[in-house]
Amino acid sequence: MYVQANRKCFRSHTWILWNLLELASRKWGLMSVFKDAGHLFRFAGLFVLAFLVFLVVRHFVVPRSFGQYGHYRGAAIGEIAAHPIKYAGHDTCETCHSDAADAKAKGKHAHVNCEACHGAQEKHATADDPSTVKPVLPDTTVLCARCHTASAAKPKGFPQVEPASHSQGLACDTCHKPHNPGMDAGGAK
Amino acid sequence: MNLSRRRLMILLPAAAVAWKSVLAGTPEESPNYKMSEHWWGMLIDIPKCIGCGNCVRACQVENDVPDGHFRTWIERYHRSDWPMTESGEVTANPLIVPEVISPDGGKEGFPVATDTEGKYFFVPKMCNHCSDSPCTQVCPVGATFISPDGVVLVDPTYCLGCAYCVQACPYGCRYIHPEKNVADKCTLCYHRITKGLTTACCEACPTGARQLVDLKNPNDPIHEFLKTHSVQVLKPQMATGAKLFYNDLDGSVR
Repeated sequence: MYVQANRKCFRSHTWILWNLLELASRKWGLMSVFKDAGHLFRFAGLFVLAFLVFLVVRHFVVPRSFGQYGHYRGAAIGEIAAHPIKYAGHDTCETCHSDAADAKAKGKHAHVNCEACHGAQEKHATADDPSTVKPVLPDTTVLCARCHTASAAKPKGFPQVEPASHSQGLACDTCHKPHNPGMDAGGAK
Repeated sequence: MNLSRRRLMILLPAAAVAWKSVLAGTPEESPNYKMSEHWWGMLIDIPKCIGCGNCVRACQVENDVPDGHFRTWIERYHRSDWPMTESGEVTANPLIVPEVISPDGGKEGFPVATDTEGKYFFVPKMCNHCSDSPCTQVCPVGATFISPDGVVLVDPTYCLGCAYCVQACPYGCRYIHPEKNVADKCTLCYHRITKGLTTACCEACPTGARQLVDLKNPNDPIHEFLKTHSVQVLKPQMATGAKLFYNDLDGSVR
């Protein structure tokens, strides 16, 4: 019976392993331990095969950069960093508009960045001819009121007015230069 | 060139794969930027905030944030004086029950406050970019993570939209994007700071109430500021390692 089983599974690796074990066990007298353990080795072989299949599938399913920096896709960082910019930044503005920057530097709006009032200007800044993408001039009646409308909630030291009584509906830039708005600092029109 | 049908059947799928990677393109790189040299955070100077909403609008423009959702928003707190009955009995603790409003995230500013009683202040809020963040820990698929330079990011191609992270964030800074159906949040304008620019909200803030800080830069003024001012983070008891520093934060802020 032993010989028959041996022939049947002649090519099986498990069987070769089994034979080796049998030899070893005969030599060291372990025969009785492994006598009927063939089904265990066939089962072990199945497990090894399933693990190899898992490794192959995993290789194709898991993105290359996963685990590069941690338990996430490392390439995602570069993709997020590649988003387009909308706000050019005041340094970019000042390379051309140094006159406005100089006027602003003298007054109380020195620390207000260009795009805080003029909006996102990356398209204007990166256009081949910036004059083709002309920014809309903000309406000072709306723009200035956003910051300077008087409210008990605002910090006490911040300059605030009640627009209705302060200018009777006139646009703020009738009297104030937005880049340097102070009346005493030569900012008045 | 002789191409057998057999060869063509092998080559076509290979070409399709190659063309797909060409179309995807390589992400725009920032060659001078080294992640290991930065550890980003933000400073919010509460006494400087006037509640104009510039940061909320700038963030929406810069990051295409859908209407009704916010990566940053402003809350206005009104902490009344100790309410007392005529006999001098305190009826409620204003430290525990402040009045908080945030109409449309403060995008169009706030209604004029006429009640001069008590204390008003604005609290801009956004992702705290925690260095030990609860939101990244609960993600079942590894779609959200802390980048090596300390910014909490979401990988939109990997996110399932299960919203575990939305629930886990103790600051309420995440939402599910209504069109993409994935988690979305403040990236600290990662596409800007890696190019040497500041964030859109800092760029648009007229009073300097928001400042981007790099804790790994020894010359950053934040180091002196932290030593000389009363600076706090939100919910310190949760040990999130928040890097959104608030100067002069009132005790009633949650």
